[in-house]
Amino acid sequence: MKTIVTLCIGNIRKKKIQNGLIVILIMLSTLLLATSITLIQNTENLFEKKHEETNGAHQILTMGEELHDPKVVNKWWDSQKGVTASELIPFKNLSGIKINGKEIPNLYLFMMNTPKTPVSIDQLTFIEGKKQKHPQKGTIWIPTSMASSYGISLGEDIEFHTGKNTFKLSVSAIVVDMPFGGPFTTNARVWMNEQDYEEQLQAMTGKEKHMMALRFDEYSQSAAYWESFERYLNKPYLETKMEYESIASFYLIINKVIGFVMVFMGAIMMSVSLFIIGFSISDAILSNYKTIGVIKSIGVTSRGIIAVYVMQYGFLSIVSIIPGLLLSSLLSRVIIESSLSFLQSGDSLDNVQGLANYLLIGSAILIIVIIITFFYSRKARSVEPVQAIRYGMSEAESSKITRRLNHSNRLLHSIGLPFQIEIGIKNLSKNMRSSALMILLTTFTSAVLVFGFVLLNSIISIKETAPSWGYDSSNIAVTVFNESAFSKNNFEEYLLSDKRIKNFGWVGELTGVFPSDSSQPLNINISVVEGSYDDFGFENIHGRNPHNKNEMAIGVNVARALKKDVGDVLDVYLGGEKQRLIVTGIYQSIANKSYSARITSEVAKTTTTDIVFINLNDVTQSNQVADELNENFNESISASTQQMLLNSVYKEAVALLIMPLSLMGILFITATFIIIFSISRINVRKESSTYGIYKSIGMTSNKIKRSITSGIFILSGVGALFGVVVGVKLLPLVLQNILSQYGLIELPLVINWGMALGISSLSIIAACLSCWLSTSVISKTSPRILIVE
Amino acid sequence: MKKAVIIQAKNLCKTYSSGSEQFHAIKNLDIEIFEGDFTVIMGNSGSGKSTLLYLLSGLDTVTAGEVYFRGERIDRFSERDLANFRSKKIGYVYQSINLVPDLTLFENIALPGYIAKIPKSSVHNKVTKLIRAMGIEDQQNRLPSQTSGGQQQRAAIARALVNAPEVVFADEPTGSLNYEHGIAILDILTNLNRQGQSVVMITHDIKAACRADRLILVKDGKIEGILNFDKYEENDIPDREEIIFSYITRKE
Repeated sequence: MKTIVTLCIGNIRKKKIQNGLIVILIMLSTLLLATSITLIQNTENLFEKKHEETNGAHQILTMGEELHDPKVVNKWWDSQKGVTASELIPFKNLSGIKINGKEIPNLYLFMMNTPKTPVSIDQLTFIEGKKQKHPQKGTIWIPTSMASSYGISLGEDIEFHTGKNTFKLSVSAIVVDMPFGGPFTTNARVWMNEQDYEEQLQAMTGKEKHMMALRFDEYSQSAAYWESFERYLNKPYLETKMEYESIASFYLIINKVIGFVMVFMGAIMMSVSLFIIGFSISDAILSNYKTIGVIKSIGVTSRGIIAVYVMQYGFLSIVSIIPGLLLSSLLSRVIIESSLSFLQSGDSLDNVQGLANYLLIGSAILIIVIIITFFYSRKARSVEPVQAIRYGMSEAESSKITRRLNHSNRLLHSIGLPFQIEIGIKNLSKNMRSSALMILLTTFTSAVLVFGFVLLNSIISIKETAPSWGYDSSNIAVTVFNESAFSKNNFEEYLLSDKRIKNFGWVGELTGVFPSDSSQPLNINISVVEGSYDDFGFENIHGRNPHNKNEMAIGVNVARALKKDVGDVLDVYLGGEKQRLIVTGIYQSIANKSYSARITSEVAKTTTTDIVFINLNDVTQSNQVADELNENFNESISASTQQMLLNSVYKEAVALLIMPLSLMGILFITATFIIIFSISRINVRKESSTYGIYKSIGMTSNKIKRSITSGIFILSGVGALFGVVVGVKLLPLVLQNILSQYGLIELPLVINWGMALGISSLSIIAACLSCWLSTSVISKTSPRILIVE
Repeated sequence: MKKAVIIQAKNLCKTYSSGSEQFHAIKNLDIEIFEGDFTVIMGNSGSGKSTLLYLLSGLDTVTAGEVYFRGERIDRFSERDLANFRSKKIGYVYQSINLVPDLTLFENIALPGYIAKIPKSSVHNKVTKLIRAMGIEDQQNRLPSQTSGGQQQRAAIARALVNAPEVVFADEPTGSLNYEHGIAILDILTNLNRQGQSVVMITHDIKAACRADRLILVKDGKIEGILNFDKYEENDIPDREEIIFSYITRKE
């Protein structure tokens, strides 16, 4: 035992640099492994969890058109078993607001009268500000989405326009409001003090509306309740209904995208970290081959040698694992909190970041290290002292390397590269395992960077692909937010008299019920266009837009649920009337998980045609025309250019994704840098005498460093190219398969190859820079020391 | 006729530090090496002879003192100038041979030529001639590990000569070889010297030291004495052996 402890202490004391590098590598592996496990544990069902916690709504009914009596509707739902109905909340719509003197377009506000906070459904989670029963006079509560999108903080004043008047209210709380607070939302519920509501909004033109939320014990049974409800009404429900799919769609998709990114990264991190542990330990042991030979020649048994290494690496692991776990707890919290900020779900991290979890991860790493150490040091059994002392490795290994070098010599001769590059390449062919690790690392890093870039670029460039996400591509969209103060005829006359306007069309929605043989009837929103879908740029994945009064295009998930394809006929109940329509096209739409359909106004009329799409003869006049419309109809409409709409909606998507993707990118670049630094440093130590010889025959340190780095450049270049392919082709394909259940079967990617290659080159830069820096020891050391060491 | 000084060192000092301990390997040493001489440095283990060779050849840095090569002070050279000096002015042969294990013998010999940016065809011609002169034609495309120690040392000498250096330094070039291979290597160096090549060699072997025109005895980091001889002839060995042996014995 004394011998083993002495040899172990000797190993730890003598090889400070090598041991130090192994400590860093194991710490990095622990960091990657623990972070990946925490991320994977946190990506599933965060939305569902939060929805459950806040007693989230499955449907939200909005009534204000005097088509139904809100009290009657509320009473009926309240009396149903298996359904929780919220109380009726009065509200008025508003569009014009100013924050810090700046007009905010494309934000439609529901000004909620709040005598008391909602308690039964969609309970508000207070993120900032004091939790109270209702907002104090002169103050409002706003949702997190609005606060983060426009940078509004507690205590800030917001100026509201009611058409002719303006008033200011101060933000006293920021709350998570599930149905209106998700990513990409353009709506926001502003919770007002009852007295403020009456003083400021009662005088405003336009009717007061009511909102109520429904939560089903079994959401799948909702269609049956609706059938019963419409029988009770004796007519279809004709006002606005927001479905769970619309509430959840963006949450689930963004959650899935982030989840995918994290699970993918986590899996890579895990494999890289295990590879690193295996590589660094085996390399350290095998580089000690000569010493093992010497120790064996003086009588130490193979079992004794195994014990020395297990003791050494066990000790080094304990030193490395603890800081690795501490760093991971910080890093995973930052990543998850930043990526899922709209859910403010940081608290839920506590469940998976417990001490027990970390103890488990730490013990697992320690066991892995011991197993790997045991496995590789077992090779000590077969070490023949003479071979070990002569070759520094087994005779078989020596022959293998010789064969490999002969082979690469022949190959390099035939290519005729400059000798400096030849030296760099030979360095790589000699150390195949570290070369494979470096290719793998740069491939992963490049794939992560390129995939992140392609994803963000596709969202930033969404204007090019808006129809593929289920949107129109018209130049201006007008939303009527105050129908009482709006005259459709006057507005149409105005549009027709403007020569700059090429065409326009009204879009509304109605609810359609599709009977299904195999499951519950489908109850979905159907878009109704007065005019041509083609004119406004709507696209289909298969087939075409509906043109005639017996035609309909359906979303991907509707087609799946009903097992219908282009050319099939389907039955649909519109306003209680059964119609037989031909499916002309199948499209995808991110907004409602592709659970929707499109018909023309020839098929059915709708009561809620409150959006107008406008195309111009000259697109460059979009801003001017939109401004004039807002000025002339400021009490009733809000006009936005498509660019403005897409910008405001997807700015949030970019903001949500940029943080986790950037953090992942930085983490991978840092890991690549540190790992390649360590590997190169270990290789420099192994090859120091060769570098000493180069120096002694007249090579400068910089030339030697350039030679080594040129090899790494070639290697990382190959890795980066693989990474581009993985990042552009393979990962989007996997993500597409995952998102397919959410109605996106073709991911509309915008690939900028030049930028993708540029981004991937970061992995090459990280690899080359770390190699260059790690070989600085060559400059600082004289040839004598390099050769002697 | 007075010989030209090719290398000169004044007040040369070299101290190695290990923690708080210091070891003075060379202490205020003055030395001159003459052009065209076969200079042999002898001394006991730890006497400082290898350190002296490293300092004279610019392979290690001095702690104090000055080293001149043809009147130019090399201990103040920049790294680039030193590299240029090592590449073109000197050749170095190690006891442990120190060929680059990843390169064939041919490549090892050609390497200094490539580094000095001599045209590839000229380097290859020179290497081919040297390989022939060293008698290792059959081995030229083999890696060092596939050849014998003697063949490797011949390749190392060829590598030291490829850029036609002004001085060849050899640190116990026969130390790791058997008798037969050792003699062959010494013959090569002797013949080179006869053709005008300046050689500075360290050895423990009195028979090898017999090849010297000038023998420098080093003890405790200082020059203990110098013996001068005429040019070596094979039948000089018995007499010179005796002279050297008695000189060393006397000095110790």
